[in-house]
Amino acid sequence: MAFVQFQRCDICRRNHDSGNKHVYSAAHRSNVQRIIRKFKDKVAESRQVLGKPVVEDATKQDMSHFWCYFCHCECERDKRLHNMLLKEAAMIEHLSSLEHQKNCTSFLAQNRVEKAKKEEFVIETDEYKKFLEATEKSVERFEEMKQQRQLVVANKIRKESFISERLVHCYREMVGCGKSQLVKLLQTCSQANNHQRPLMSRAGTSNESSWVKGVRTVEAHGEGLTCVRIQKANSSTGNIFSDAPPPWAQSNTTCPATGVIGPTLDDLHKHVENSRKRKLPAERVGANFKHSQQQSSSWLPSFGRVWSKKRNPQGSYRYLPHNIIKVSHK
Amino acid sequence: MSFILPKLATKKEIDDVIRTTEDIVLVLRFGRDDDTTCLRIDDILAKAAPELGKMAAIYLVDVDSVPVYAQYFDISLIPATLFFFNAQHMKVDWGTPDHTKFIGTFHNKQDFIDVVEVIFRGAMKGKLMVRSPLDPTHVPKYDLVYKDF
Repeated sequence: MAFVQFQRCDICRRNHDSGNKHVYSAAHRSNVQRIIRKFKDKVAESRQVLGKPVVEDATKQDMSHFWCYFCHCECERDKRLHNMLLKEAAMIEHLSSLEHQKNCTSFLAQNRVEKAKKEEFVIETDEYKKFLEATEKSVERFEEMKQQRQLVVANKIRKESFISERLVHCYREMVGCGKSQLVKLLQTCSQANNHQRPLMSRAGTSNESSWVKGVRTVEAHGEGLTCVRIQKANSSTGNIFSDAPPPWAQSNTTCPATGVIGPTLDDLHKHVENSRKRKLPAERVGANFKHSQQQSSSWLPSFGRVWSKKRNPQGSYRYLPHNIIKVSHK
Repeated sequence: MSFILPKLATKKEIDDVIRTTEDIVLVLRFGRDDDTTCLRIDDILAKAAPELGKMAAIYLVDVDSVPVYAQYFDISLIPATLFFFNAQHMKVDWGTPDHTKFIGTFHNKQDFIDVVEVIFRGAMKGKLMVRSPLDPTHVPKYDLVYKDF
């Protein structure tokens, strides 16, 4: 029997013994067509940015890769330049390289594909040079834009810090000037910064009657509904429509005699301790030990039977069947 | 009046309930025990209470016994149902003049359960005002005349 030389086809990813005829087989042809179609799409994508290079912030992007079927290697699509990402630049560079052009020619010849199709998979050197020039320009433009954006943010921060400084200054002067002046100053500060939440007049004063004037019902009618005697509004206390403090939050009616609202310091300590303990491994030594439990005077810490009685290998004698009787007789 | 639902008679009791109810919707029904519409809503609340055990706590309040709250919540028509979450009053856009309370009775038990669920979910997302899930025809209509003071 004649010796059959098997060959490996990378495109079909299998071994075959058909020799040179394999490239004409239906499976191989369809695989080649599929590869060509896929690669054409990829090249078309990179060709889109050829005339108009896209520059992006590198911090937001992950590097993507593509497989070059002609060179049998994985290449990067985008190119990283300092903190910038040039979209498809690495792919364009690869497609325009001489190595790729050579590999493309040999692939097409090997798989009996028309030579004219080579233009679709390579980028000419002239085109690549034009692309490089355009890239330089767009990188400059991107840097300018970035600088402008930083300037806007810096201005905003400067403005905010100026307003906060002014507020602190107002507060320090509060002792000297009257409260009404302070409120006026606060209002001017809040007007200066329209983006910030307007300061409530109640925030700076302890006077409860300083909430915004609201409305109250004077007449009500509903079908099948009983109208209760509408209470005369007390102008000193507000209601839900004005920004008055609710009855359950007023200081004179706080239910705890101590006047403490919310969790105490002990509660906080307990919570901190609990949250710390929760992170520890559950199987740690003495995890279930109750520290607060009262112990008798004869209590001694457990040494885990290593040093308390005998050496560890001798510790098993107690559990061996022939020793159980001895131990029980003692 | 409902014998199933707990009643709050004093301001202190209401304060305590509002302050201590944690992470569930607190429903306060302001009304009178002998009012017919109140009896209807009490029946609906009592039926829904066991089903909403993990989501809401429901209490009845006599509107005449706590004038402080009646004045604060500007209660003019009864029954008025108010909702709270962690001592924070919850508003609901009912499509009526008043967003602060539900005035009148719910159409059925499921309507009330839907409202509580919407408030609970909204509150868990940090919303202080939610939109009513009810069919507008199921919300009682009423007129209020407001005046500045």
